Formats: sequence, structure tokens, C-alpha cells
Amino acid sequence: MAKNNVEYWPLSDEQRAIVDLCKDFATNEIRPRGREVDEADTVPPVDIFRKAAEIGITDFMLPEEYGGGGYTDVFTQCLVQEQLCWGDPGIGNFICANGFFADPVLALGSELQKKRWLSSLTGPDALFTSLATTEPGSGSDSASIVTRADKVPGGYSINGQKSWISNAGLADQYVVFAKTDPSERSKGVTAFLLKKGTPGMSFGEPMKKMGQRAIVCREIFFDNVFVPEEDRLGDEGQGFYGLMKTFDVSRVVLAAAATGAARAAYEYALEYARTRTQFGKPIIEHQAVAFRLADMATRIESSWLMTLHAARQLDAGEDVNGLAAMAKLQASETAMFCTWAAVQTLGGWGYSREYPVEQWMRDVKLEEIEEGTSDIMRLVISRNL
Amino acid sequence: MKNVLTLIETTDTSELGNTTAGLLGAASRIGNPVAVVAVAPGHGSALVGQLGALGATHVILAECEGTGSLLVAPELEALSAAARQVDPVAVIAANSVAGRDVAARFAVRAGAGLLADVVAVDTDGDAIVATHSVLGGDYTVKATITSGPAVITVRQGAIKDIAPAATPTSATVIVTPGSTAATILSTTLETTGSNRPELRGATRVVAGGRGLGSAENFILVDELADKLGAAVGASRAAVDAGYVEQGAQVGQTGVSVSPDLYIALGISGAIQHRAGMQTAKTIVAINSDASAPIFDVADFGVVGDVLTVVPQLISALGAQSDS
Amino acid sequence: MKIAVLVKQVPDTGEQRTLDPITGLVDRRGENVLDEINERALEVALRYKDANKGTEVVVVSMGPDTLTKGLRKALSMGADAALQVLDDALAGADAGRTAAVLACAVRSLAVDVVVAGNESTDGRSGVVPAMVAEHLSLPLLSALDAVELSEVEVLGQRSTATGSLRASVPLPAVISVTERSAEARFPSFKGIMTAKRKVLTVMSVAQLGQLPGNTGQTSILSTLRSPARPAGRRIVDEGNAGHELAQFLRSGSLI
Repeated sequence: MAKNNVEYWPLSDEQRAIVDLCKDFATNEIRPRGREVDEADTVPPVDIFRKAAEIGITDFMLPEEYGGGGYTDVFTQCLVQEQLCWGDPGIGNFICANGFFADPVLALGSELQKKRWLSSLTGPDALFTSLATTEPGSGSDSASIVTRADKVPGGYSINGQKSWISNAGLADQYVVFAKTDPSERSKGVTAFLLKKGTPGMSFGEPMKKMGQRAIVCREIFFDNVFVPEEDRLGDEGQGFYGLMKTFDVSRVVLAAAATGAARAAYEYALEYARTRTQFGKPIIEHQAVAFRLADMATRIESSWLMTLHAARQLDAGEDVNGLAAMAKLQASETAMFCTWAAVQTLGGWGYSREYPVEQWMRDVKLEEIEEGTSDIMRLVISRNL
Repeated sequence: MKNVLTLIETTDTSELGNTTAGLLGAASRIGNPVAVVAVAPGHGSALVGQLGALGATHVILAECEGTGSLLVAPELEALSAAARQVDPVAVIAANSVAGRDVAARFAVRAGAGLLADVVAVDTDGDAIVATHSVLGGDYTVKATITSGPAVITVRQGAIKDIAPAATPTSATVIVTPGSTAATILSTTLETTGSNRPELRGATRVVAGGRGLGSAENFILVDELADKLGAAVGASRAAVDAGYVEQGAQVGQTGVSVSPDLYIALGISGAIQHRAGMQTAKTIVAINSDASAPIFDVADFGVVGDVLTVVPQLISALGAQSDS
Repeated sequence: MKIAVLVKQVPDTGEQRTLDPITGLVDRRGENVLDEINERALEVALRYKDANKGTEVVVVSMGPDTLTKGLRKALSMGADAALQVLDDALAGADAGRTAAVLACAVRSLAVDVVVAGNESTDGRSGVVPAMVAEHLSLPLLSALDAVELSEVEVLGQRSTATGSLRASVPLPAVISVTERSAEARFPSFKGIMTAKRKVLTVMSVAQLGQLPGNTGQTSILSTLRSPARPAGRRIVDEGNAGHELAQFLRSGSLI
């Protein structure tokens, strides 16, 4: 947003080229499809994912040794996510979803598991993946999950139900969190790797959502699903640690996603305010409109700076539990404000499905909820004070 | 008076191209119009009188094997041979694909300055001054050459000067095509819309954009165009959406037009589109979005639904022609 | 086979573009991007390379140091090498001089095919490919909507006023392509990584060797911004706009 040529943080030539590439992709392949995917309601845009996979957008964040692009730093992931979600929040998150699957595998997995479960996510034929934590009775309090993994000869038997699972049914590979010790809370949680088609695993109907419809969510049911010992991710009881580790990364990346969506709404509103004439002048010359745009710009600037700051701290190995929550809180609430403000600026057209801003307003609401609601973010921040 | 050598284009059927009058008109503004035309051996004598009627005072028929089946080479050799004969102060060709390829090669060969895509020519003392319309008509740039002769390609349809008719003398030269010719293997006539005028150089254009909503609705553009005897154009958005083939695209990428009348239907008027049409004499726009930038350049704007306004316009025009 | 692709950077067509009122040259201070038509030309070359291992694609350009960005993009799309002619003496070069320099650069590469866009989005004069061809004494097949390249010749299709034509030239040759020719690919993340290791050669005019003398030059006399169009009449359709518009067209003798 800054008008001069000084970057927020110095980018390498490669990062600059990556930003340009993602901007092109978002402009030409994502933005024009946003409305259609929204209207389709529960049809994931698999073709966009394939196109993205061909040029390396779906696997850039995976380590080179497993065939990925090797941009494992969160900072570059943020640059990418911001651009893609500028195109469309749901589609942007959809095509980078494999990063969310990879995080616990990288945190907890053995070398063999990483090779087996991550190599399949690279290249043009990348598989879809899914991360299953949430349950009907367990949302923000993920230590309270009740899906069980009971020890049986050679492995575990999983029973229970997951809900709101992104890409469930579409995904070929799953990380499932379940209790190996129901008497414990967080210490009883263990992570498992599963493939679609494992006997006893079934899926519900697509859930009807407010926005981000590119990502289709379903329930998953586990009825005596056998998982061999070798597909347990990390040790028993380590799952919660893996999950928390995932959250710090995913919250920062989602902050970038939210910032991109906020910027999209702001740019749309700004352009409209400059060209739309009412009472004999462009509406941006009416102070009520101009000040709203000023607030949008200010909040986006602060969100982006916080996001990149958190990413850099994370990449430097710092504990960013509180900072990541701050970035996500700030960015998601900025996105909600900016999309609301864009609808307000466009007035009747903003409310119309002819324009994308009403859709973005529905889309970004998710960012105040997923990977921990804003209430949970404040809880995390306060505990880190 | 100094000779201005004018490269005449011929059609597939060896008739004078529709750029001929404008080229000779442009030449007459600078000096004495001399026409050169590449013809198949033994052909072209009928063209001499026609060229005289359009202002040529002298016609050079350059007989060349391969005329009509070789690209560029016959015309380039014809022009080179003619230039040796008449020592022109300027060489004028059409800014068509073939015209500018010949002009560009000739300019290199002759060590001459090339003024391409010119919309007006004039003289200022001894200097030849060409006017260019640049960046989609946002700027008018006048330029000249520092080493002669001036090689000028004229935008089709831009120069409407008509040279006084003359009774030309004529000469025939025989040239052989150089080794750098491309060979035409086949030509195909377009079957659809062939009686509509060509977009480039058309005096009226009806263009459609994404506001039409579908390829089916784009038929409205065709209908209005046919009603007005206009060429069909389109915005890039309409082309990308598959409403119409890419050859119809008007704009920064695509064809630039300067018609007397340009009617934009459901076109928002992005900078790139305006760059290709804003030099039109009269612009009419119909769009449902009152804030569409096309209205900034429109002489007559209708804020309304193209799907209702256009049929009404067509029937209103029909009523007029009946009366 | 070795293919040279001529490229240039131009001001983004999505932005307002301006001319410097003194020099009459395009103001290039803003964001410059690889011209879209050049990306299509590169795509034509890369498709041949994809199908024929051992093909070498070199992008050739003339321009200031900011051009590196565009050349890196071309390399990350898949070109093997880049050659940039960088010389302050070339600032404001006209088509004739540009073509002479590019021809010199291409000659040093000894290529089988030169691929260019049919016209740039800023200058639009579309004469450089033909001038380069003349300097190199090569045949030219210009304004192609479709290209079939083989070891010995190029077959191409061009739109004409009345339809289309197909033509061929033997190699070596220069071709230019239209925006109908090929949808350019995106660079890839892997391409961006490998582009770092590819060779981008920068040469001055002196290093290029002897330019052909006598490259005719043009000079700009004046540059005027066209006056804005006067505001027109605007009506909101209340059921009668079609008739009102017909009336407007009739009264202005426009039909």
C-alpha cells in the first residue's frame, strides 16, 4: 500500500518474482472464478488447484527433499497467501491447503512418514489433504475431543465423529486427532495418518456455509477404523503439541490471507469511490466516504506489518504464540471491517451479487472463527502477557 | 515537384486495394504522386487508368514472378526498382501487415527514416512532417526524418484526402523476387459475416462487452451492426468470455479503430479498451452501470439495460427506413 | 535448434500511460512489465522446446537496467538464457536504431529462428521484426495467429481482410506472432529458482561490434496531449431510450 519503492521488508529477487507470479495467478485464474465458485455452493474448484499445482503454488511450502518448492519459511508463505486471497479468499485458501496438512507431519513425523505422506503432495498431480480436529462437541477446546483411538494388535482402532472438516471426502490423505488416553486432556491426544478408503471411514453431506465455499466441509465418521502402528504421527500423547505448533504457523498464514482479502475490498472500494459520482462529485470527495477509506487503509497497513513481523519471528525460531494470535486477531477483524466498509461504500451495488464485495464479506467472517475464534485469540494473547 | 512514391496494394483478385485513394491522397499532400504496383508478368495495364483517376501522375508496373503467391518480396523489389527510377523524397505505403513489412525492409535497405502508422502528412518547408496518434489517441506526436527518403506507412482509413485525377504516364519494369520470400500455400475466405465491413478502417463500429451476459445475447451486436452497415467489435472481456472471436477485439491489444460512429454495448470502458476507440468521431454507450468509465468518453450515453434498449433502437431505426 | 525471442518491457497497459512532453518518448518511470505479446512469442518458442529436447531459447532485448526483472521472468518461464543490450546511448532509440541493435545482437547468437511479437503495446508501429529480418537478410513471416515450427521451415497462418492465409518459409527465418498465437504460461516456482542460475548477458553497443551504418533516423518535432472529449449527453432509460438514441443518430446524420 505504501506508495514508494521501499518494501516492508527487503525481498529477494526470487520473492519478488513469486509475488508477481501469485499476483498474475490471482488476477487471471482466481478472481474471475470467485463468483461462480460461490454460487456453486459445494463444488470445490479442483481445476484451479490443478493449474496451481502445475506451476508449484500447491507445494512451494514443502521441503525440497520431498519434492516441494523449498520455501518453508512462513514469511514467503505469507507473501503468497496474501496475493492469492486477494483474488478470492476461499479459493486462495483452498489451493494452499496442503500446507496445513504438512505442518503436523513435519512437526511430529518420522523421516519415513514425511517421505511417504508429503512426496505425494508435490508436483502437478498433488493429492488433496485434510486435517481433522474439530468435533460436534469440541471446537475451540480441542483438548476435549472424544474420538478415541484404542490400542489393538498391530495398531489402533478409531471410533468417533469429526465435523467441519475442510476437504473431507475430497482429500486422499488425512491427519486425524484422537484420544489414546481418554482420562487425560491435552496429554491424551495423538495424531494419526489415514488414507481415504480406509474401511470404516465415511463422510457426511457437504455442510452449507456462509462463505469460502471453495473449501467444502463435511463430517467424518469413524467406525472401528484400523490404523497400523506405523501411521501414528509422533508418540502417543504428542498430538496436542503438534496441533499447537500447527496453530502458530497457520494463524500467521491466515492473517496474511485475511490481509489480502482486506486489501481486495479496499482497492475495490477505492476505485469505486473515485469513479462513482453523486451530488456532482466523485463520492471519495465526500468526507464520510474518504474517512472510511482512510480507516481501511490504516488497518490494512497495521495488519500486514504485524503479520510479516510475526512471520519473521517464527522463521527466526522465536516463540510467537501470542504474536501469532495478535496478527490473526488484527488481520481477521480488519478483513471483516474492510469488507463491511466496501459494501457500505458501494451502497446498493455493494449489497448486490453483481459485485464481489458482499461475497468477500461473507468469506472473511471465517477468519474470525477458524484456527481459533477471536475470543480464543484474546485468550491466547492474554495468557502470553 | 518532387516525386512521392506510393506503394499500391492489390487484392487477391488483382484489383486495386481499398487503401489506394487514401495513399495517393496522402502522397499528393507532399509532392507528385507516383504509383508503383507489383503485378504478375503481363498483367496490370488496366490499373494505370484507375490509378490516374485516383491521382497518380505516373504509374510503374513492376512485373514480378510470384506476385500474389509470395509475401513481401515482389512488392519490396518493385518498390526498390521504382525508387531507383524516380528518386522519391518520400515513400508511402499502407500500414497493413504487408505494407509495413515492405516499408520496414525498404527503409533498412535505403538507409531511410521510417515513420510508421501515420494519421496525417504535411510539409514544412523542405521537411516532411508526419502526425502520429499515440497511446490510444491520448497524444498527437509530430515527427520527421533526419535522413531520406522518408518512408511512411499510413494508418488505414486515417487520411481522407483525395488527389486530383490525372492522366498518368506509365512504365513497366521487370523485377525478380529476392531469396527472402515467404510462400503463400493457401488462402481461405471467411464464410461468416463476410459482407460486413472489415473492423480496421470501418466507418461505423458496433461493439459488445461482457455486459451482454452471454454469447446468445451478443447476437444483438450483430443485428445492430447489420442494421447500420457497421463492423462488429468487442471488448477483451467479451472475447475472453467466448462471446465472439478474438479478431473482433478492440483496444490496446487488438484492433485500433477511428470510425465516425462507435457504439459500445455493455462495455465498461477500461483504459485498455478506450485506447483502441477513443479517437472515434462520435461515441455512443449503453451500459447498466452509471459509473462505467465508458460514459466519460461518450457523446451520447444511455444508462440502461442493453437487452431492452438495443431491440428498441433496432426497431426505431427500422421504422425510420420504412418511412 | 536455437531460437531467439525478441522481448521488451512496456508500461503496464492497466495504468494511465503518458508521454514526456519534451522528448515525446513514452514515460517509463512507472511499473514496467514484459510486453504481453512478447510472452506469447516466448510461449511459441517454449512449446517447441517442450516437444523437442535440445532446443535452446534465448531472449534478446534492449533496454535500461530495470529490464532485468522482465528478463528474469522470461528465464523463469523457461528460456535458457538472456541477452540484454544496455547502453545509455540507446535511450530514446527509434525503431530503425532499435532494429539495427537487435539484429546485431541476434547475429552474434547464430540462431535458426527469431520470434517476435507483431507489435508492442506501447509503440505499436510493428516494424521492428521486418527491419531485423532485413538486416539479417532473412525471410520474414509476420503477424501469425498460428505457428508450426519444424527443423527446416515455419508454417504459419495469418488473418487477412477477407479471411486467412497459410504460408511457409524455410529456416533460418524471422517470424512475428499475434495475440491469437499462444496463451503464455505462468512462470513456476521451480522456474523462479532455476532462473537464478541461468545466464543473463549484458552487452554495450561497443561490445556488440559494428552496427550497420546509415540506419535512418527519425526525430520528434512536437508532442501534444489530446484535449479531453467534451462531456456528452447522458440519459437514464425510462422505457424510451432506444427511440431517443435513434433520434440522436438521425439528427447527427450518423446513419
